[in-house]
Amino acid sequence: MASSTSKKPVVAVTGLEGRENPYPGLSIAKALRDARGDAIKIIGLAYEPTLTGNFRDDLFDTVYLTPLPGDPAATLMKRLREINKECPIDLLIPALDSELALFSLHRQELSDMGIEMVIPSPESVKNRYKQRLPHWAAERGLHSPATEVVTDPKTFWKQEDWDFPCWLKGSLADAYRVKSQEEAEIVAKRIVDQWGYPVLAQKEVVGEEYDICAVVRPGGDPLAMITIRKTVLSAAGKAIGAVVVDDPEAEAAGLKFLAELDWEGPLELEMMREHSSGRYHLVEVNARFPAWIGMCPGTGLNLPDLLVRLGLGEDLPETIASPTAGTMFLRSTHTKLGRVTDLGDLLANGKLELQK
Amino acid sequence: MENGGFFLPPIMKLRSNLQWRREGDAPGYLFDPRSGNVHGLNDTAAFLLTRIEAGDGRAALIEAVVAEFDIFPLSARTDVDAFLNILQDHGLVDL
Repeated sequence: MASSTSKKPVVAVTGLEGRENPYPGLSIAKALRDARGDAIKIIGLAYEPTLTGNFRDDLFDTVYLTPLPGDPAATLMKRLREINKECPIDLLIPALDSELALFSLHRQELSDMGIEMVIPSPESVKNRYKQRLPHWAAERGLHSPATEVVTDPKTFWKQEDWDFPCWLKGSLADAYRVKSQEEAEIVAKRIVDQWGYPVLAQKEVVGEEYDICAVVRPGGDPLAMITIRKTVLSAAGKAIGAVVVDDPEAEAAGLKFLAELDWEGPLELEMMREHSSGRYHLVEVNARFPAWIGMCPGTGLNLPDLLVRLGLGEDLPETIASPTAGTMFLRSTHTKLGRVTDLGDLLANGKLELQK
Repeated sequence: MENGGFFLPPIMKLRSNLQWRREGDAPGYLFDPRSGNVHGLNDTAAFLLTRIEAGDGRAALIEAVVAEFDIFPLSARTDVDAFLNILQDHGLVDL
């Protein structure tokens, strides 16, 4: 019952993978640790024992094993009850797109357990599904590139209005630019192997990519946001290098999208500014903090800490700083040493105390 | 053509939030907070930016380059236009 005796807020974070395609959980924990040091208890919720974040004693106090994201909701809720009984959680920050719909559906049940979350409604979560986004945008006079489910990679591009190059995406993650039928068939298979069906094709918008990460208050009013321009992409389309910009046009476009999304909580808007028209296209909405959010304390604006303040009902700063334009990040890998006995403890007990 | 190249206004003003970072006599670089880009400068670019900041228009820039670098007016015009086009293409000037 750590939280009741220490009065430290207890915040649970998911998404603890930190290998070549890192999930946001480690970055969120880093930002919270930067803001609060030891004055917060950070719990990691890990769906696999070998996620690298499980052994990050610089970030987490305790790590608990949880069911896989695709497991039945009842299994997850049962495990969260067990964890919450042992270590009452004040706030849960989901960090994976795949789990958000489930957490949104069970928000009240979790709140009854004392676990608060700042997340959107189930309907808002659904609206940002990749295949729904173009229709949703068109209905509101906004722009989002055509996106369709590829039912058969051999015949899909024979349709009249589809051509190469275009993007192939998994429904949850990854995006690959494909330039030919042959390449598309290989990439589609790779996406299915990694993420399962469906595979989505998205028309290419030629331009520059901007991402906006925001924390949105209940009611849809953005509390604060950071705009970056991606400068280096991984093979899977992830930003591994970017720079913070102060671009009023990009911010105005982001606010326009946000005003229609009816959002609550953290999110990342991925937008393309089309070279030919200067128009902003909404490419994706990620329903969580991005993996690059760990850099935000260095910009002077710590979004995960603001989210915790919002979620716990703490005082918000009277003025919220603007992020410093020109702050850039380049992703680096970090090799974590550990003891195999820690892995044994985690496997045997479903729990690993990192602050002994 | 005396008042500007085909697509160049006679006077250009650097965008107000551009930051010219330099140490000592080095030409330094321009940092554009809107795009996040940095643009390295050579001595000629630094010379031209100083004159643009002082309010020189295209014709005055060409005259200044002829006087400073002792080159023919036609070459100076080509160089100045190329530079002004670069500024315009990168959105570094208010039009």
